[in-house]
Amino acid sequence: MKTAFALVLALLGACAGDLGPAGDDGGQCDVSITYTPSMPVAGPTSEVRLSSAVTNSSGAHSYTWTVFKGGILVPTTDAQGNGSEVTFIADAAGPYSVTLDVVATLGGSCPQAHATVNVLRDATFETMRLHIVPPITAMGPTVDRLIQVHDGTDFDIGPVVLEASTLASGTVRNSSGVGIPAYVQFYPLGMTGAMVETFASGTGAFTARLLLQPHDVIVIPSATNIAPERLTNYTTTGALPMLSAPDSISGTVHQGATPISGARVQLTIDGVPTTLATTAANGTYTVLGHHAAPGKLVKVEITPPAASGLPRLEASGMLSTQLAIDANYAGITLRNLSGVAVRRGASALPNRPVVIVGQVSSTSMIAGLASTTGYVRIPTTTDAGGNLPSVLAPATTLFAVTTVAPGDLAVGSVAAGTPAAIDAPAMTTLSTIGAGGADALSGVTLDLIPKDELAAANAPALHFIADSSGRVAGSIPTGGTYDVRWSDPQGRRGPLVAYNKTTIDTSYALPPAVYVSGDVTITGSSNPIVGASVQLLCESCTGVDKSRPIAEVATDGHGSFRLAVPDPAAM
Amino acid sequence: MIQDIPVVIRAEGDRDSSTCAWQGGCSSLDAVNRLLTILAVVGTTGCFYTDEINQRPSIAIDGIGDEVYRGDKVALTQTHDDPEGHFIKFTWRAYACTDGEGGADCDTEPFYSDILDHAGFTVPFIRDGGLPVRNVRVILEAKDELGATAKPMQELVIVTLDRPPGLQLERGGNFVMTPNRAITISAAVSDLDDGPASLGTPKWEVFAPTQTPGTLADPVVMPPPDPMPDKIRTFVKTFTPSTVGEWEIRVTATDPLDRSTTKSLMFTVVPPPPPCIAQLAPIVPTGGAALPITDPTLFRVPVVVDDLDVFPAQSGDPALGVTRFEWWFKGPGAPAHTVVDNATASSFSFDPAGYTPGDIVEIRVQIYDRENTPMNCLPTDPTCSVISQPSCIQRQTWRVEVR
Repeated sequence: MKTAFALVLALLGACAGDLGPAGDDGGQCDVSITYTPSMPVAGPTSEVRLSSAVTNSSGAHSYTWTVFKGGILVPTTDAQGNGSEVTFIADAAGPYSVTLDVVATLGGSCPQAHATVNVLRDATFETMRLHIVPPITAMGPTVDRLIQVHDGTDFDIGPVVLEASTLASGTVRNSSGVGIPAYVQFYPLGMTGAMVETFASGTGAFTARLLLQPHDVIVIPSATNIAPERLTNYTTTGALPMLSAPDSISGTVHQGATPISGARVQLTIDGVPTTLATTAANGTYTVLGHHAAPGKLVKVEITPPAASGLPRLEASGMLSTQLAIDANYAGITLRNLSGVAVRRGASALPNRPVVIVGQVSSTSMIAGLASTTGYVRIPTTTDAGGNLPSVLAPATTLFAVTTVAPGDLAVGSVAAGTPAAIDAPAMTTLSTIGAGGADALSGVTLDLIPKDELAAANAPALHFIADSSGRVAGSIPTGGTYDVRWSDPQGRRGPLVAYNKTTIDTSYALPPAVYVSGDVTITGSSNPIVGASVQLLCESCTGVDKSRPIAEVATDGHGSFRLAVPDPAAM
Repeated sequence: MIQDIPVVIRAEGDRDSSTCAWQGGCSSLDAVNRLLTILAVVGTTGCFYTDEINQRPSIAIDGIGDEVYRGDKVALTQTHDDPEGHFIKFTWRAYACTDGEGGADCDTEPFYSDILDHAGFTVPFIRDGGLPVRNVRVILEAKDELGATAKPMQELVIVTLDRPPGLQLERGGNFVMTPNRAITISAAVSDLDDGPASLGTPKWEVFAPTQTPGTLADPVVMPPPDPMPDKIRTFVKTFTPSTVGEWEIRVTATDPLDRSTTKSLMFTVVPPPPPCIAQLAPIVPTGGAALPITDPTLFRVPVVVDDLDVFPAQSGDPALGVTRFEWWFKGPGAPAHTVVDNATASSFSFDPAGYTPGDIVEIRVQIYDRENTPMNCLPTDPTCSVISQPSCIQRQTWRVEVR
C-alpha cells in the first residue's frame, strides 16, 4: 500500500525559546502528515490512517489532530497510543481537511501542519489536463499537468506550486550564424502542454520565461525562404543552437499528364512545417525543410489555385522525403456553376457572399498515399441577378454556405450535376433550455461550434446566454451541424458537450458537477498568484478541441480556484 | 510582689475615635468604669493591673480612575493602619445609584458585598428599578480582631458613565466606485451597556460633492440575520452615487441616554475604469510580424480584469457580470476588419485550411463591460486603450500567416 505524502506547510514557523523543540542542529521544527491508503474510497468501513513525522524537535510530543469534512468535525481514534497516528472513517467522498498541532513536552510547539485527504467515491476517473497560466507580473511559468477527476468526488489539489523558472534570453541564428526574426515555441520536456511561445526580433534576440529544464524548440523563421527547424534539448543556461542547413524536398503536382502551376505546397514533418512553395509552370516545386527521420509522420498539403476548381489535397503518412513527393489529381470532373441561381424560397439573393464547400472523393493521391483526402472551399459572390458567376467546382455533391445578411447564414446543397438553383433556407428558430436536474439554470451559456460545411466556410461559433429560466432563444443556420456546448459560469452544474448535432433539442440537462479546487503559489514566495488563468482541458481530444477549456476560472485574491467539472459518472 | 504595669491610653487624632481594649473589647464608658474599679482595687491592695487599651484601625479606599463605564470591572484595594497590628476584617458593599450622594438615591440592597481585603465587581448596567446606573457607592468597613471598628466607615462614589454605542461601517466589494453603480454599506451597531436593541435605527446621511444627491435605499435583497443579535445588529443600505467626486456617508447611532457615535465612509467616485485584457492566447505578434498558423487554432482571451464585468465569470460576487466580447476579421486582401456576427464568446476558432498558404489574415478582439465605452482608436490601430494606457487595452489584433 502506498503512502501519500501530503502537504507539508509547517516549514517556516519557528520553535519557541531555547527549550523549544528545535533540534540540536538548530533547524526549524518540521511536521509532516502522511496517510494511507493513498486513494481511499468512501465507505462505512473505509479507514484512513494519518501518520505524523516530526523532525528537528527533541523529546516527547503531544499531538492534536483535527479532521473536518465539509465543516463537520470527523472523530479520530488514536492508533499508536501516543497520538502520533490516528485513524478515521471516511464514509463520504470528497476532501477531508486535516490539521495537526504538535507540542514538545520540553516546551514550545511546532508549526501547524495541514493536509487534505481526497476520498473517492469509486475507483473510476477521467483524466484531464490542468493548465495554468500565471499573469505576466507573477513571473511564473505555465503549468500543464494531468489530473484525475473521479466519479462524484470533489477534489482539493491543495497548493499548486509553480516551479522555478527563468527569463531565458538568446538569439535565433540561421545556418550562417546571423540573427534572424522568427516565431519560436519552447516545449519543456515531459510537459509539452506547457508550451511557451515568443517572437525573436529582427536581430534574432528573444526572451521567454521558461522552466529550469531542457526544452525542445521549434523555430519558424519569419522569412519564408528559411526552413523551420526543431532544436532539441535546449537548456536555458546555454545558447540556442544555430539552425542547420536545410534539405531540399521536391516533387511535382499534376493532373494526369497536365502539370498544375500556381499550387501551394507545404509539408509538415514530425510537427515542423517546411517552407512554402508554389509550383512552377511545369508543376514542380521545392520546399526547404529537414528530412524526416524514419518513422516520423509527414503531412503534405496541396492547395491549387482557386480558379482551377480543383480540391485541396491532404495526405499524411510515413514518407521518405529524400524521394520526390508527387501529387496527382485523378478522377475529378469539373463543372461550371455559372448562372446557378441562389434563392431563399422564390426570392433571388443578389450580391451575396457564397462559399462552395465539401469533401471531394476521387482517386487523387499524394505520394501514393491512400489516405489522401480532398475538399473544396471556393468563395464567390452572386451577381446582381442572384446567380453565381463563373465558378469551377468538382462535379460532386457539394454545399453552398450563403451569407444572406449579417448573422443570417444558410447551408444549401449543390447537386452533383448542374443544379438549377441553390437554396438558402431561412434560419431556424432556436429555443432550448439548459437545466440542472429539475432546476432552471439562469445565466448558463450555450455555444454552438460549427462543424462540417459551416466550419469549412469559417462560420463563427454562436454564443448565447440563457435568461433567468435557463432558456436560450435565437436562430441558427438551417442545415448546419454543430457541437453543442453548455456551460454554467456559476459552477452549479458541470459543462455538457454534444457533438455533431444537426438539430438542437428543446432542453438539455447539464450533468452534476464535481469540484476541483486548489491554491496557486510560486516556488520561493508565500504570495498567492492572483489572476492566473486556470483551465481544465480535454486530454483525449484532438485539434482545436484540445485547447477548448472544459472549465475555466481565474484565481481569486487568495490565489484560490474552484472549477466545476462534469462528474465523470454522468458522462 | 507587685507588678508595675504602665497604663497607656493612646489617643487618635480624632478623639471620638479613641478607644480602649479589654479582651473582647469595650466602650468608652466601660473603660472608665473598669479604670475606677482598678483604682479601687489598687487602693485596697496598694497596686493595680490593666491591659493595654485597644485602638481603632484606620482605613482608606484606594482610589481608581476618574471614570468607569457601566459593565466595567472594578477592582478596589484599601490601605489601613492598626496601631496594634491586629488582623483586620474588611467588609465591602457596593450600591447602584442614580445619584449616589449620601446614598440618597441608591438601591437598598448592595449589588456587591464581600469580606475581603480587596473588592472586585462589575458595574451593573441598570439599578433594581430598571434605571441606568449613574454612580456606584462603595462602602468599606473594617474591624480589628478585638472588635474595634474603623470610624467613620469609608465611602467612595464612583461616577459611572454611559458607554457610547459601537459602530462599524463597511462597504461591499472592493471595486472602484463609479457613478450609478450601487454598493451596499453595512452599519454594525452595538452597545455594551444598553444593548443594540435599545439603539433603534441609526441615522444615515449622504454628503454629495454636488447638488445632485446620491441614492441611499434599502437593499433589494435583505441581508442574512445577524448571528448574534443580542450583541450586534447590522443595518444595510444600498448607496448609488450619481456623479464623480468625493462622497461621504455619515452614520450616527444614539443610545437611550443620548450618547452617540458617528462614523463616516469616504468614497472617491471616479469615471468607470475600462476592462483590461489580462491574458491572450496565442501570442500576439508585434512589429509587423505574423503568427504562422498551420492547424486550427483557438484565439482566446483567458482573463479579463474589471470592476464590473470580468472573465471568466466569478460566481462569488453577484455585482460582477461577464465581459462582452466582439470579434473582427480581416481576410486576405480585405480593406478593413469586419465584425463577425454572433461571435461573442471569449474565443474565436480559425482554421487555416479555409485559406491559401501564405495568406495573411487579421483576427481582432474587442472587449466591453456594461459601460460600453466606445473605442475612439483608428480602425487600423492593432490595439486600443480607451484610457490611453498600454497596460490596459480593450482591443488586440493578431496578424496571422496561413501556413
